[in-house]
Amino acid sequence: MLDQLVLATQLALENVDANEVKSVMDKAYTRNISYQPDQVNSMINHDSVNALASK
Amino acid sequence: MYYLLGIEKNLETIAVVSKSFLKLPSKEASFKELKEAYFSFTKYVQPDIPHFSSEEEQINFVEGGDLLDQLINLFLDNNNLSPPKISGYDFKKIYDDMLLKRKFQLIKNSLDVHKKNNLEHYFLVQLLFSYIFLIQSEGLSCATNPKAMGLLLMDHKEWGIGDICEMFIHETAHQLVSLDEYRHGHYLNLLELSKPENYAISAIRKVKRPLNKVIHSLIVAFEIFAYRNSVAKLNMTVKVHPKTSELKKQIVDAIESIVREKHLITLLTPRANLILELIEQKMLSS
Repeated sequence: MLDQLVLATQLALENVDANEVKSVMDKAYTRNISYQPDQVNSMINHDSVNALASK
Repeated sequence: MYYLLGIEKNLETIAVVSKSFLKLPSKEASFKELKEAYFSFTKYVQPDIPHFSSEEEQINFVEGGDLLDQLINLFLDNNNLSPPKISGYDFKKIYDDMLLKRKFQLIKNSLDVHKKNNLEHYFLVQLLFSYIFLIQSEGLSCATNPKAMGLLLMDHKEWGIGDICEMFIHETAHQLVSLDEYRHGHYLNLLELSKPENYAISAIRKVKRPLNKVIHSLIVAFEIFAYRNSVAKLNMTVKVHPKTSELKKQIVDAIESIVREKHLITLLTPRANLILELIEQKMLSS
């Protein structure tokens, strides 16, 4: 079954639009998500969530 | 993103970002080559992350050494804080070898359960993560960093297998959202995101946060909701996320906090608006 997923990924690679690849790579730095606020996606404990929300 | 868009659309996005780095013709690429091509992309956009090259093709569990310090540094709020903090929470490194071995074994067991529950999602976890490492903290459950794709930080607490499987769903969603952002772009003006007037309610934390965090939270909450609907038997033991009924309300509240403020919608690209609409539609039909 995992082999089928590797095949599916190979197929996706076969079918990508070369123009889209170029466009995405050209924009990779300007679209760099490193510039967004609050970088780390920290998943806090459920009790900490409730403590935050009740403030 | 997996439950929202399906496996094919997500593989398509991984293929778009990986294609330039594939060293073999697509049809000849094994899992190892696919993973290396993907991590060459992450290294291209994020040069500070450690190079990943795994002979075993699996996720590496980092127990200590310089690599662990390097990984932790990528998550620190500020290198000079004492005690060190991640997202405002104090943390410590774990030095107890037995504890580490036991925890890593539990995570490996959880991966096996995850594989049995959803092979497609397991494949995404194996493809998108390079290193898992453990810390001790009071407030954190786990974390990823959009500036350091592929790294998964987990804390040392006594989580059950159901909790850890939900962490895989949660953190894989963050990775896939970030890739979708690289491919399509989600925001028209990044500078606007940090202004408090552009905050909305997070579907996970239930407090106002920057719009990019809220979009991430909506997708993560939806993925957990959809995952639970597909693997109902794990629901009873999970404590890392709220109950499904609460989660559903939090998703609805977060969507409302965005759509009722017209100026927030104008900050989103058509792609991000489409994602928002998809979540709304799927929640209405659930």
